[in-house]
Amino acid sequence: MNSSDTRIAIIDYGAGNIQNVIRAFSHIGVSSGLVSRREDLEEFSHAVIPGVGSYKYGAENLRRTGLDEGLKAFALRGLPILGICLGMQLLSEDGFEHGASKGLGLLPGSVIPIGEHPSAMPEERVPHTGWTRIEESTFDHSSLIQGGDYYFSHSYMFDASADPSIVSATYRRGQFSIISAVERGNVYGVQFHPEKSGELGLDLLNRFALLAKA
Amino acid sequence: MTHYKRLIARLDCKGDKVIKGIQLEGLRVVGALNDVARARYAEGADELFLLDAVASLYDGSDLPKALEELTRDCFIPITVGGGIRTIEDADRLFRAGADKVALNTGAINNPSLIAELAMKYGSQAVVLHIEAKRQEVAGESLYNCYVENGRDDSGLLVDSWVAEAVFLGAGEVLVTSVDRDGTLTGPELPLLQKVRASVNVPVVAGSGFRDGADVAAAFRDLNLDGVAIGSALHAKKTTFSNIRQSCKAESVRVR
Repeated sequence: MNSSDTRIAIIDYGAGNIQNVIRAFSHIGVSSGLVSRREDLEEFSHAVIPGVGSYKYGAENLRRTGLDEGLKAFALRGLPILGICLGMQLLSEDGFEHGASKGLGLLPGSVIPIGEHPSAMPEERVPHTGWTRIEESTFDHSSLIQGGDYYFSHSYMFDASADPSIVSATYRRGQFSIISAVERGNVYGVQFHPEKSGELGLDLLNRFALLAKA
Repeated sequence: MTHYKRLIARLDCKGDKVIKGIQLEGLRVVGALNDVARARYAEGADELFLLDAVASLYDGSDLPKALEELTRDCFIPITVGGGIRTIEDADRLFRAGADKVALNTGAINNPSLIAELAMKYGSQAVVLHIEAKRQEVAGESLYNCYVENGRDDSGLLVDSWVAEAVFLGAGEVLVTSVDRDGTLTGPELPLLQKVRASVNVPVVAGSGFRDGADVAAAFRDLNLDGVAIGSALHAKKTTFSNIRQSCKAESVRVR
């Protein structure tokens, strides 16, 4: 894809920290812009859904602004979408933070508290905060994910039992694996923060920007 | 377990300068905030903790501007604290680039602020910062929570306050020891033990560390989740490289 055509829509839906994602793309020389209205998505070649905050609040804001429908249409056009942290979680069908809410449904699965996962042990801290080594999934080779250390900060996790083939990376927690990244077609999600993971994170954002339309 | 312990660089700030005091008193300028922060990033810090040391006195913070500048090319998590009293104070810092906000005086004066921020940004973005001072009572060490950058006794005991704050939604506790801060005499272990025993969220120790041996011992013996190092780095007593080596030698998992 011609790099001068690349413009990343950073979805602004009131879910906290978005500036760091913009700055990260700026640092690697990729053009991006904030999008808070559905109609503005037209001008962009890729979309990133950042996010810090609660599933319920995030889902409500996406619905209220019409961005939920906008993103679904964007995905149908085969344009690459990357959800980060809460953004990844919102790609799911539903989530259970502060009550049940519907997500974008762009990927099969649900979002549940880490504490409800079988891996939860009393001595394991929640939120899971800190740099963590991820492993690429043994399913198909991902065009986006590379193993290594990335920064996580989350209390909720993606449950992909509906379709485990979407899992592209995990991290170990005791004898269990916690989903670190998911993907299917042109829709990608990472639980960690590439914009907070130093050079490796910037490399990931760069690879995302280089992804062509599906 | 592939989760690493967190090595955080602590920068106490006044305006756009990094300063260092002893026991939260006295100000020696270490350097310009952006210079020191970038140096720590380059030296291998996992995260940064910026504390606006005078914000609670002047009801405002200069940090947002400095933060915007810093985050143009610093891509590790940054926690910011000092003088956060309202949701709007926190909003401003998040917009400027903070990943987490740390509350001390603001939370003690208005505990519901913790819950409001946790609802809006998630617990993982809300850090309870405590500044605790030791008091010997009948041969036992008690720890009182201080406000206004170590000036006034709030009347709260550490054990119960941290438990309450976490119940309200704080996702992490960062512990400053007023007795040890800036002294380079090692961490206040009984204080850290009390906090560790009181909550199940990540606990970060923030005062007194001299070198890698202190850090490795704290991780090994107390099961802390992170350390925030200020003076030892400013005074060049140690480096992140040395600290990582010491940790690995004690089988403490670090990046």
